[in-house]
Amino acid sequence: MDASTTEVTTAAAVRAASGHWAGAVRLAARLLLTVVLAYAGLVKIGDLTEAGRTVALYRIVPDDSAQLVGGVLPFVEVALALLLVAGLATRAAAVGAAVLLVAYAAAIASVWARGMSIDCGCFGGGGTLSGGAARGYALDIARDLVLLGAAALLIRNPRTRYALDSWVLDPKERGA
Amino acid sequence: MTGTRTMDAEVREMVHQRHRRRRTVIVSLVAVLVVAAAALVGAGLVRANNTAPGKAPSRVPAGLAADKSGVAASTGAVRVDVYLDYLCPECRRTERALTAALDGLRSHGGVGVVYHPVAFLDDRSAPAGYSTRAASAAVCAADAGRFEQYSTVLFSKQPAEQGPGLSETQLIAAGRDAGITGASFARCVEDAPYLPWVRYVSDIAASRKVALTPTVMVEGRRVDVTGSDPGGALTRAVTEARR
Repeated sequence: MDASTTEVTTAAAVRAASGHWAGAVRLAARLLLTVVLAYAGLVKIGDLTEAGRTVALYRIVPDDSAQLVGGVLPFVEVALALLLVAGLATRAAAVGAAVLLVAYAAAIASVWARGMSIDCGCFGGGGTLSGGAARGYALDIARDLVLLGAAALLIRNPRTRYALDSWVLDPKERGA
Repeated sequence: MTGTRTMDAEVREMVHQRHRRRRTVIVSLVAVLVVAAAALVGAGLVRANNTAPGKAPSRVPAGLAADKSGVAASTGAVRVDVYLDYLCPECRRTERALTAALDGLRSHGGVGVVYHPVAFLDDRSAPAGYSTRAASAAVCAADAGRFEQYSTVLFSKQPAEQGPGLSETQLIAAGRDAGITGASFARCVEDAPYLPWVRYVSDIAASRKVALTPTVMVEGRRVDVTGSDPGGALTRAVTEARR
């Protein structure tokens, strides 16, 4: 084995290792989004009236559609979580999650800009706050951005291990 | 020979890519359908949650509006609906301004004010349920004909959220501050016969898509009372409706 072959093999190994690493990061991103969306959705489904009230507190959608929006959002969150945990249509699900996250971050920013003091109600709860709202807003938006990063990774390359996508999109016929 | 084999492979690859694209589209459509179905479930549940309750309970307080959905403080052509929760800080903030504006408007006559004491914030007290207890006591005050006065007292003594709220004794004492004399009020606060009606009022409010308190409507149209001058906003809306 001469020097150049060794070099090529090492380069391939490095590439394989980094690919392996990136794959693990994408898998982690998928699971992170799954867990957060599922938790956020299920908590809100536990009290839909409260979820509707929280939406109304943002004063973004008209008061009389707040309950509807508050009832629909958690089910969309859970549906996206289901798709992500199954790894089905990962890219589309990640796009959906990204749209939600951008909307949430924008909503929180808008409330912050209008000088209102509310709890984001991101994971249920919600309500008006007497103080310390700004810190909460910053944390909420930061969390949304981290999750948005995870979604972006999956949109760029949605292939992960343990995903139904690899089953459905690349069936065995390829080898034949 | 080698050339054809490469061609073959290329064609196979192309066919494979085309199949893959088609499957991707189908799978994405399935995903969209799954999300849409979930959204429909949510919308359906909201609708089911917010259907108007059937009949009013048999025991209702005195002085109700005709539809039994609230306490009528005055009668008149222009209807003003006020939805309030005794634990809601924003209700306390706007109470004085709104009461003053309503007094001014009513002095000219022609304004029918209906108060809907809802219990939306029951889980914001510990133990839960202060909103219901306070609303129930306020409705007892309606029996004594002093709902508005009692409301004002309750807001001036509004407890902090996440606390226990006013005790039964304090609720009864607040009645004296509102000028209610007589033992029947105390008995009413203790026995709380109007609990079903408070629930009924909350359900009616939800079916009218009232999600937040305070919500103020003039002739069924919402008035924004979140600004710095809620009284002025209400007065303008009523003046508008009178024309």
